[in-house]
Amino acid sequence: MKTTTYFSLLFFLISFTGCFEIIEQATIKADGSGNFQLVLNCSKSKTKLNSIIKMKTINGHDVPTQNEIKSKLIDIEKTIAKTPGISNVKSSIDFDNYIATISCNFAKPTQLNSIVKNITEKEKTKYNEKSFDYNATTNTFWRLNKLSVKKDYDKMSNADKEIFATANFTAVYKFENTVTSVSNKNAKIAPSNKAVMLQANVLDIITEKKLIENKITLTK
Amino acid sequence: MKKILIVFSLCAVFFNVLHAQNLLSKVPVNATMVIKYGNDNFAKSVPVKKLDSYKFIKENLFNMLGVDTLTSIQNIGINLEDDSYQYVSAEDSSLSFVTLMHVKNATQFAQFIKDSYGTKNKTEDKNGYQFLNISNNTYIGWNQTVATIVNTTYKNKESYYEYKNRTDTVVVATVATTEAISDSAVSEAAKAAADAAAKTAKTKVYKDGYKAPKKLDKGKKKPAAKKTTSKKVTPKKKTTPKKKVYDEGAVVVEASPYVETYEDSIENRKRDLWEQQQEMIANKIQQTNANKIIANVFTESQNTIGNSIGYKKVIEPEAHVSVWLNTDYLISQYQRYFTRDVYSMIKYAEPSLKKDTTDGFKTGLNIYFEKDKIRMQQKSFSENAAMENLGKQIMQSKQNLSLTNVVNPDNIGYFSMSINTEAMLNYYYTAIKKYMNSMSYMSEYSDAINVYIDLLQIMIDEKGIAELMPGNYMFVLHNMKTKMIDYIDYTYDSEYKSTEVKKSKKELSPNFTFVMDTRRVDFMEKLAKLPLKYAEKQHYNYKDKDGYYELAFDSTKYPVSSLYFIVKDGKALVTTSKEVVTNTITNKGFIIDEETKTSILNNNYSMKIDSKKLFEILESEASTTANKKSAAYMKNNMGNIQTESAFKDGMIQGTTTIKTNGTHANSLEFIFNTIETLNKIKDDEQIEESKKVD
Repeated sequence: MKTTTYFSLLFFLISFTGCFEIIEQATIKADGSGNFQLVLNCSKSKTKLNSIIKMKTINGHDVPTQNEIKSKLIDIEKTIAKTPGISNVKSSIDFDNYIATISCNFAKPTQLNSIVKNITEKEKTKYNEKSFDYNATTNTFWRLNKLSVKKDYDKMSNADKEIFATANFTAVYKFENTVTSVSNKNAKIAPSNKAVMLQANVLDIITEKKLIENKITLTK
Repeated sequence: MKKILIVFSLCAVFFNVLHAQNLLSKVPVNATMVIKYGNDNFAKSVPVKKLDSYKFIKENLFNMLGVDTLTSIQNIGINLEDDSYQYVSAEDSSLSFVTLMHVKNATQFAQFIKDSYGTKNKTEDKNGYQFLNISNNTYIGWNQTVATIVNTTYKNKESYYEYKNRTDTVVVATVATTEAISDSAVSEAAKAAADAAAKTAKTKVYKDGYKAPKKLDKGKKKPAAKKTTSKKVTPKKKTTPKKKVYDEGAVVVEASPYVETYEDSIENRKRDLWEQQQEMIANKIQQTNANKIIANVFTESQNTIGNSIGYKKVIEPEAHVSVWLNTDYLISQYQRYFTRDVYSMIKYAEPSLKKDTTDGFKTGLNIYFEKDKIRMQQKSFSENAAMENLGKQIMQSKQNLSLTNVVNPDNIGYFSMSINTEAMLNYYYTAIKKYMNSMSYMSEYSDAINVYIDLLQIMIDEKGIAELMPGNYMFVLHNMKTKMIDYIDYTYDSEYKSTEVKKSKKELSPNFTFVMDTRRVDFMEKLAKLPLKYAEKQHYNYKDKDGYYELAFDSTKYPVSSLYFIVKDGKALVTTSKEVVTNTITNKGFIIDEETKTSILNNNYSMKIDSKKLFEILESEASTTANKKSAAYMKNNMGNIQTESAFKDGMIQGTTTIKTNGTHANSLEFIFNTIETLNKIKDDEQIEESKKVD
């Protein structure tokens, strides 16, 4: 499938929901290997999505069928599975609640960047930025965000912009080692010092009012 | 919406009196849209001093115009009590938006321009007027009495991907030149730009043989291409990814580093150069075009649109604001926008359509800002007798009285339509022929196209379609109730372990009815019965309920629980209201007030929206405090919206009224006050948000 299909999928899952949540969870062992899970929860907008999915197009955009969405997810799963260092790739989509999940194991956090690279290369999209980094010597984990979509957002219609007003992003990073510090002032460290959570409004991230970038330093 | 309101306010600042030179004489006959900001009533409604007091005019409008907030709009040299016009023209593959205003004080105006836009671009003395280039697509010309602002955009740009698909042989300058020259009216300008571009391309040569693009002048807009540096490019040696063995024994390959490859670098430079050349060509053409438009304003007597019957017939001189549209042209432009792409909107321009001033429909919208309502008079007229007759035939229809039975007295809104379906279908054939023949690449085959459309007309049974759907329709939004909907959310414990939890929220459930009349009850009954056979196989809940059919939905998944289908007494209904079902089966109906009944029965189109009820619902549904406040403000200040339309005096005529409440001096002030208030609500929210962040 072409980029337009990806766009249609994303547009369908996000643009018309009005309320959605992106949850990013990573568990990182002491040797740098771990598990990553990405959840797109559009459950709050399921009544709207149930109606929209019955249409062929909306606002000039194609509406994918359930089968097309499933097939695309499997396609993504295959691309991820082919990425070196990535294993145990699983994906699921619940059309009763419109929750899509994709998870995998990695040998090094930087291999998650390769996933993004492989997908974007396959689809010939322009977004190909480094999102994760890990330095085993200094025991430092980085969540990066070099992708700026503010300009794209500014070009959107007011109605489309409104969609992001109530959307949320949650990131949870768990470690075997103890967290000694986090660079993002909005990030919270769990009492055990083994987990970090960051929650933000998607609109604030897009408009760069809040950052999701975080440098997490762990004990050696 | 905000942008529309700001643009409107920008326009509204420039109003008129009748005694001044009529700037309509400067609007060319081939304009596709003309807006007039009319007479001193406008100034009486909202005085200039009052306008000056609005914060949004100072902050948003002035910012948009590049004017400092200390400047008073009374001191910009423009005569704010004289008429002003704006028009759109599509010529030489460029779309131009032109503003015409009266100058009160040329020295003051020149100073205002200088203060606002700087002195970087020098004012040029032309034949009887001053000319200033503000940006690549905005130009100003003025003399002692008239000022004109031209915002023009060259639309015949080719996208890089289109170009890449067409050829992989990159002889950029040659291609660009050829493209530009093919546009006959601007060939000289384009050729000059392309030559300049080609020359630029020769200015810097890298060791790898690649010619680098020259940097754009400061102030010029950078092309939307990927950034590249002008540093020497050293081809990177390709390395084989290192293989490592991890603890679990899996052989993995290190992730590739994110380094721009040599091929990427070359490709990016090619694209940069190509984009710069396209931009230079576009800029040159835009300047030539703006020059031509401004020169016409000051030096030539135009063949003005004001003399055309199509304009005079539909525009009311006493209107506070009037908008004139060449409807057919705009429809074809709109169609082109969606069927091709934005750059091709006027690519196959329509010399035929834009010069066509007699055929097709011309529409006028005359707006009056009265004490407690905004009144909009719409008129559509064609100078072509055949077209006029088609319009008349379409509107020769009267709403079926029995359809008014579904309009409940306390509804949120309704829309009634009554047209002659057969005449409408016949109009389509004419419209399709006109549209197809207007395409430059189709006009050569117009005879063949006409034959095909005639054949289509022979094959289609218009009378049969009209039997099925005579043309009477009614939609009623009875009310909006809330229902509880379950959804999944995640909660986190102190160690951020997530747990899936079921929550519920209120959601709006619309209660509506759509009804149309039909003379083919037998067919509609078959159609309503058809899904019964496939319901089980297709896993949907569709049942015959003895006199009507019910399509039931899972109430936790859909905003409506059931849709009911009924075919009875020459009517086909789809509704969510059990009350309407019962009424229809028992031959009862809602009792409608006389005013609404008269409006529905005496007009081809009738629509009414109860704004208070609508905003009440929006207020309860709004997700943010600012949206709740905005909805509450609108609920208290905006009255009902009503539209009526019928065929009168040889024209399709309609009236839309938007009532206003609150303490506004008049409906124009209501608009300004509303923009001001909604902006303040938004600003206050942003301040609150920034406090939270800090």
